[in-house]
Amino acid sequence: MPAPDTSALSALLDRYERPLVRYAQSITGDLESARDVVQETFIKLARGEMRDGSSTEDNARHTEAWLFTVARNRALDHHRKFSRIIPMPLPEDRPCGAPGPAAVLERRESASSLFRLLDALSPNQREVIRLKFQNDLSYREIADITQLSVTNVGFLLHTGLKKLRELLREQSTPEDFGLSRSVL
Amino acid sequence: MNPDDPKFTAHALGEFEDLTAAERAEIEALVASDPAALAEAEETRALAARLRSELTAEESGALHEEQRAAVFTAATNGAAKPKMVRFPFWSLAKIAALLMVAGVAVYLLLPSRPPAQEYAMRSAPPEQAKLALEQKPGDLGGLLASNVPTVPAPALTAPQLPSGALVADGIDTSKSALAVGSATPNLTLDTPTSASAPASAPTIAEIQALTADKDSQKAIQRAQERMSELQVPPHAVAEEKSLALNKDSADITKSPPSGLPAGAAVTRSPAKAAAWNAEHASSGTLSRFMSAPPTAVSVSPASPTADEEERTQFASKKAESGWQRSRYPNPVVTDVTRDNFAQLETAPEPQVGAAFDELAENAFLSVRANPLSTFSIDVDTASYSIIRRCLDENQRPPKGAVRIEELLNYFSYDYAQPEGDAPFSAAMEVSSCPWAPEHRLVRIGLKGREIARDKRPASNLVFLIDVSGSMMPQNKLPLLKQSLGLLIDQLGPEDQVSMVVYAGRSGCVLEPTHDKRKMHAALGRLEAGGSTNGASGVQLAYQIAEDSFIKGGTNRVILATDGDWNVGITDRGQLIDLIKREAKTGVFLTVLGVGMDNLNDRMLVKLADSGNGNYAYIDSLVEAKKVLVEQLSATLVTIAKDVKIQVEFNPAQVGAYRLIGYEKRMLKKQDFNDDKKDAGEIGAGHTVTALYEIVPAGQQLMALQKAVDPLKYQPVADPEPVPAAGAGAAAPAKPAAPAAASEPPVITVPLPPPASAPRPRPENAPVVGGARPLRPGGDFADAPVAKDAARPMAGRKLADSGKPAEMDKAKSEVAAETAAPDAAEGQSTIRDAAKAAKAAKAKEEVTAAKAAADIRNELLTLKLRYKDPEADTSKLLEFPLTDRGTPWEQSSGDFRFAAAVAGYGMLLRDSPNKGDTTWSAVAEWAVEGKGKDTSGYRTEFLSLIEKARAVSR
Repeated sequence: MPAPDTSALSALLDRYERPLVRYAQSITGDLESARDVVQETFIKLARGEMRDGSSTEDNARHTEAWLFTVARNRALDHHRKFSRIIPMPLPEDRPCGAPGPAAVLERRESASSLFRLLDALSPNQREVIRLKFQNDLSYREIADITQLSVTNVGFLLHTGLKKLRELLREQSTPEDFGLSRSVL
Repeated sequence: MNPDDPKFTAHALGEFEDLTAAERAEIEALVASDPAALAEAEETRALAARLRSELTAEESGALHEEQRAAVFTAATNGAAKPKMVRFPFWSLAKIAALLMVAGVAVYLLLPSRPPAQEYAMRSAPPEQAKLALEQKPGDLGGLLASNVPTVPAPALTAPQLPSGALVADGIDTSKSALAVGSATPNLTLDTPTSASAPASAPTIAEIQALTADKDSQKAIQRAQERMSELQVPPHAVAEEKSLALNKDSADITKSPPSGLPAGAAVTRSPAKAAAWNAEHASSGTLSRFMSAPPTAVSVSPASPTADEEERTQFASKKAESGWQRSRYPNPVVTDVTRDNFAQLETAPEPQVGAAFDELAENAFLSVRANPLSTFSIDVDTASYSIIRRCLDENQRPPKGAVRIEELLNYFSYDYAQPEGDAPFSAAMEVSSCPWAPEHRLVRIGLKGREIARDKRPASNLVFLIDVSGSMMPQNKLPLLKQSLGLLIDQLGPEDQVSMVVYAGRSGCVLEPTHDKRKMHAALGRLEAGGSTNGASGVQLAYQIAEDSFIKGGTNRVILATDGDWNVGITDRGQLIDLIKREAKTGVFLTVLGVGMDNLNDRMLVKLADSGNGNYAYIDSLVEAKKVLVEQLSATLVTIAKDVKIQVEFNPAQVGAYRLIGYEKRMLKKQDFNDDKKDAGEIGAGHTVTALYEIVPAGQQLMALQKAVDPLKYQPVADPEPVPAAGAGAAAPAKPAAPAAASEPPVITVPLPPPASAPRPRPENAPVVGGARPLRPGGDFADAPVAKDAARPMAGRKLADSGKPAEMDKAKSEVAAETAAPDAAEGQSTIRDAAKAAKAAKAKEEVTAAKAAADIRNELLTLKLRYKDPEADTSKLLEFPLTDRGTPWEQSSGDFRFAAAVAGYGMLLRDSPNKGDTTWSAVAEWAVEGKGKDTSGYRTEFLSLIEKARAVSR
């Protein structure tokens, strides 16, 4: 496909730059490498490496899926090479067994409890949920991006949502801290 | 169709594209008709909406201005560029000259592996290379430092290869990186600036190396092979430590010696400590890509440029890399890479909800057909606490969770301490069976030798802790932290502890240390998050345990998890195999289970069994105290391993029997003498209890009799060949008077006696066994009498060299009343029944009468085999039991309590064999047997009975 012209490129950048960085960051774990990833992705697009979709409407969604796919692959490469860390916070003075729900992991800047719950999911569930709800992609598109079958994607979303629901339910029950046996 | 079907969720989310019209209609009909389904759909949609709003609100960065500019420039130039080609035609001329120089320099400086596999090339638009590179100060951990020149790297395509610079000890863990790489026509430039050659050199050399396709392919292969020999954990260790132990790094650097047990046979730790330090020092620089400011504390002083630091670290890492080579295969990696994404998730995740194995209960067996009952002992107690947890939440426990042996063994009983050399004693009691008064109940109790606290041998413990996301709730990781804290407080100065965590990756967070402050500190820092990669953690833990092995001490891995492994089914099998292998190294295992929402009980049972270990479930701090404080010695110190029980029943007294519980531990009768068969371990002070329900001889057990037709050709039921042991089996040709009575007492047969028994139940004790059943003819039917016993044995033949046991009197063994006793000559040939009987009768009638009578009256003989913890051959103990007809009223408190526990279990399982058991009866027996109950557990049991009654309605 011929490289998109500058104005088209600009439009795409405006539209997808942030979502892609966000997505890439969810895979690589840090912002800078996410930026690199996205830059590379757009560069590839700029160089005309994407193949045409079959129609113009298709093209739009096709482009979106393509961008995410490429970003994903690049991000995984980055992550694989450079990130070997279990998300553990820097040592701080915490009382042993500090009460309260899960501690905030470094990556999570958002105070939303939902984000913390997301971490309880498997990475695949997390990714699929992000793609679906954060980027509004369809099952088919997610399947293409992640190289999974549509059924798998459906299954992951189903179990991921189910798990989130359970965790939310668990959270809303008051938690006992102490020696009582019925600790939830 | 139901709400549990993923398609239902798809519909709720508006994804109609993948539903057939029929499915869609079905779902819509369901939602319309079933309010519960409708509620589910609503809930899903609500959650989806919430996710959408919260997730889209997530902060996100944008590209730097320069990066955007780069994109546009690429566009301008890109249009003119042809499609990616795989060979740098146009730049060949330019770089050819440089390659020569570069190549030499690189090969001299790099570690001895094909450079191609270590370095990946990242493409940057040629003109923008400089800019692009400068954009990435934080990334690459300083690999791509500013001294990498603007290489006019064309849009080369070559397979992606992992960067080796990061990994002093080898290749990046993910194999699939390579596979992925080959599919992506992209080039990334990662140079290990540690190669201190002219900065440009490595770059270009790599280009060269990579541009040759087939070299790349080979490199990939080599890398893959190499990866299979390397160990991830130490590398991950580095990362872990750089983050989590930055504060401590200085300490650790200074004090590796103090972390070693004095006088222990630990030789590698110092090197390891240094290596770990070197690693984490270098990875300290890598930690820059965490959003927090880099906190790396390097062993060597921080260098002005990232790359310089890299180089030093790289060099020191290289030096240490030797010890990191592991002989174990690469652990399963659960990175979300393209390849294993599919692999991991294609099999649906089984861990949705707790998983329990449902085992069929042991049924009554006729002694004729099955005179031997063989099983492995077990000291797990998880079932009891799991049930307690369920009852606390007013839930009916799943049947698969009810394992009666674990309920029985949760309590300690008042068995006598062993005397003499044997590590444990055996005691038995017989009384009437409370839920079937015409039956008898036999209680077998083993008591392990206690060890005084101060005499406990030094312990080398490795805590292997699951810190994946699912461990977040209060009743999991936080509870574990407290529990392990309790354990740490019990340890002595000779004991050492190290800690390994596993989540997305695994790593050591505490090197073996005696310092309790450090232990508590490391424990306190644990936080949950990430996916689960159990396998690599297990390997690392065992590796550390072996490296810090204390000879003559206790070496144990304590695995604490909810069992929610995120590995595929095949990998679970691999995990079990891994544990079995590791168990052979002499490191035992304790499994602590927590949580209920996705407790993988089935898996944890298997792990404990495979790993020479025990499994306890921690539902509360109180339970933690029991397992890790009160029973510390039992939990930690194994006094005998591979302990097996084989009971031989006397058909003269027993018609049928049923072993209550131990379904998961049944063994084949030939496994008893097979030392290669794994069995359970018993800890210091442990008690093990087993119950048999006995149907006395002469009673009709309708069910059994109807089940199998009487044999036509073999009136004596069992056709199984029996190894001819010392004696011939007596052929009870005639119902002659106690012919065998005259025979000398028999002694232990080394091999399992034949299983056959006379069909019509004999009044007297049948013979003692040993050899091939004779088939003289139809006379067997009346045989009973003859065998009184003793089989003339050539002598005390014991298959093993082990103790002949506390037996010095004759044992009766199962009647194989088919062989001809060979009393006279003491040979083991099988004779014709009649002839032999006569001969026997003639002989030792008087002298053996008493002994024979005793044997005749014996109910059963208990045989035990065990190995010393560090031995490979087993020893044998034997104990006979005679039923004196004790009625229930005279039975001991422990006996009644055990019966109550068994009744409780049977009711929870809704067992077909529960007879007259009722909740009230169970409570009654428990009260009768409660005794002093200093620990309070029996009283607690009483309350559990009530709860169980309540949920069972």
